[in-house]
Amino acid sequence: MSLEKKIKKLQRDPFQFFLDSKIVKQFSKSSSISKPSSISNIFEVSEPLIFGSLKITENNLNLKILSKVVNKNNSLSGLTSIILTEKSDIYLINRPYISLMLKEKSFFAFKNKTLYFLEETILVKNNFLSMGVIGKYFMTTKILRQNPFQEFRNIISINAMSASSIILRETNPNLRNIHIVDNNTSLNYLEKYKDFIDVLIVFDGIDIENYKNIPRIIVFKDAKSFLDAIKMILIDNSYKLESNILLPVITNEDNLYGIDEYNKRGTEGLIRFKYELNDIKTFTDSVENYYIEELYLKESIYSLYKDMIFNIKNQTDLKKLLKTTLRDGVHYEEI
Amino acid sequence: MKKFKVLHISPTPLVDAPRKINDTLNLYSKYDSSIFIFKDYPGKLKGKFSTNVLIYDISKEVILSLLADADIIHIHNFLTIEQENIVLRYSKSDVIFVYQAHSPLREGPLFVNYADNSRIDYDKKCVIAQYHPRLYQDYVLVPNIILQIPTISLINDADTPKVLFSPTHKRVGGRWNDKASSELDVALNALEALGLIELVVAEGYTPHELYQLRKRCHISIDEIVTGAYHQVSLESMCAGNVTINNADIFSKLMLKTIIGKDVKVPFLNMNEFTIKEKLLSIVKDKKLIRKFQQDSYNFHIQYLQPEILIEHYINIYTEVLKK
Repeated sequence: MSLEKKIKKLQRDPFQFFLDSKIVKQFSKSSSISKPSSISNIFEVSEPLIFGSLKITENNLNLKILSKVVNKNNSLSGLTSIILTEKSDIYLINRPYISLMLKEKSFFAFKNKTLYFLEETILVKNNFLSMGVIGKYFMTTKILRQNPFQEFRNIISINAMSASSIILRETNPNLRNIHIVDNNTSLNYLEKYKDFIDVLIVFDGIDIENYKNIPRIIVFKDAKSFLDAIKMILIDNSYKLESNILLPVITNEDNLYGIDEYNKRGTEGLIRFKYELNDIKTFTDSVENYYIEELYLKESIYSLYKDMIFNIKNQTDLKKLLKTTLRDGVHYEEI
Repeated sequence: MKKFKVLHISPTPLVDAPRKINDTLNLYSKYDSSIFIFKDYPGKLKGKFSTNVLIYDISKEVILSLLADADIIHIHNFLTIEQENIVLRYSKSDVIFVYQAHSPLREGPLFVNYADNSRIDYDKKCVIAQYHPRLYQDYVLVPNIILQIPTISLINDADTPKVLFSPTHKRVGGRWNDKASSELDVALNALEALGLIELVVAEGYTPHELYQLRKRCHISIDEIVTGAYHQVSLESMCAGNVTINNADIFSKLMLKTIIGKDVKVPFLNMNEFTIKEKLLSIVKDKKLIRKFQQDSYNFHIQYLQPEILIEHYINIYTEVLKK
């Protein structure tokens, strides 16, 4: 294939491009990435766990939960994820990314039975649902208000063209939305929902300038870096029980007095700041008036905001981190 | 000068919070304020918080005339699409809408961000200045108002401290709604068994009954899990009780912002790790109890009286009417 043809192909179908690239072929020698002819081929590899189904029509939402989550092992609770997938197609065949995850032998999340599928059917003419309509679903659908995804930490959506993940995320303050996107169509669709995305895993070369406020963005360029990104996110979103210590985002001292005590009792965040009370109408005004001197976050929380933290250059960036973590429910103690 | 009419609308009684704003406006402002709720609480709480408000299904005719008259409609928490339809159909075309958030996001009872996505065009969006502002970061801060008569009854050296704990529900698994703490239960039961406290666990009372109980207690426990403080803490100060909660710096800062002064908020902070030790040391020290009782009461008298706090609402109404 000539270079020109290759570039055209990359623009047309980036996923197929890297699927066909040498590095992927090498990587997937043992577990061929070519599309299996029937669903049974997938079941041979491993059995996907169907958690339930979600059907959204113009006027109502129907959520059915088929099975309880099997794995209640605390140390894995952070890995417990839902994958949203369309019911209409034979999804495991038609979704190369899912095939990739299922076939990867070292993909721990699936091995440990922490990856569950939720089949979605969206029958809404204009597929964009306003938060007002989503609010209406909440008022009319009891199961949404009953914390149906209590055991889960992550919702994984691939090239989403529906608001399902946004709706599910609103059911529980601990759920995090991970969006995998390899094309502009899906990314443009998600623009209206970008405040509800916690992690964006995006194909290299796609313009993400408008999405910079998403707490974590990871760029992938081939099958390996795609799988690595998913693994990294699931590990970072997991609860590490063995060691989970406070890490400084900004600090004045080498050794914070009493830090062992804070660590022992599981303090989520520590903060020292100066403030003024003048001319404050809103919370944003209040934070504008802070001068943050020290800020620590517990490792498991730090890892959720790593990318934001590594990009902190000044007080404005620090305040942005503070506002995001507070909105997400992080509990700070004062030092 | 025209007396502007304000109408407060709430989906449920919202533990009486909107009613108190309404009554305070009538007592201490030039606004003529009314209130109705669409539905009472179901089950055991039915009738407990709704005695002083109109209910849509019962007083429909009166309510429709109030809607037609209102210059400002102040909506609390959220309305369903059907309820919005009623409000939009029967109100004046140039009515001004104000919104006020009372609930957390992503957990009950509100879940989604209502006002930013409503068909009603709100001129001003406000949020209760407790833990909520960090969730509604660009809404204007407003206080909850306590309308009870301030009172204090200092503990005597010979008295056993009376401790009031009145959790409104037992929901768990949220971030902001939790009230229950097993450590707190253990601590309270142990102190009671040792005869060091007299424990009053109050469930299913009306706000009025609860306040009568509180007046006879020395210590009120809000909740020690989330970092928030609630109406319980405000009422506790009004009743001259030692106020125990785990309000974090940001919750307390919101209270300081409301009163406009950087003073010490007289909350006694305890969390799951410190509750046993700290509770034991306070109940044994009558002098310290008296000090905190007095600080609480003084704080209410100085900063939290309804006629002072209502200014926040008056300012908002003045501003939206100017537009």
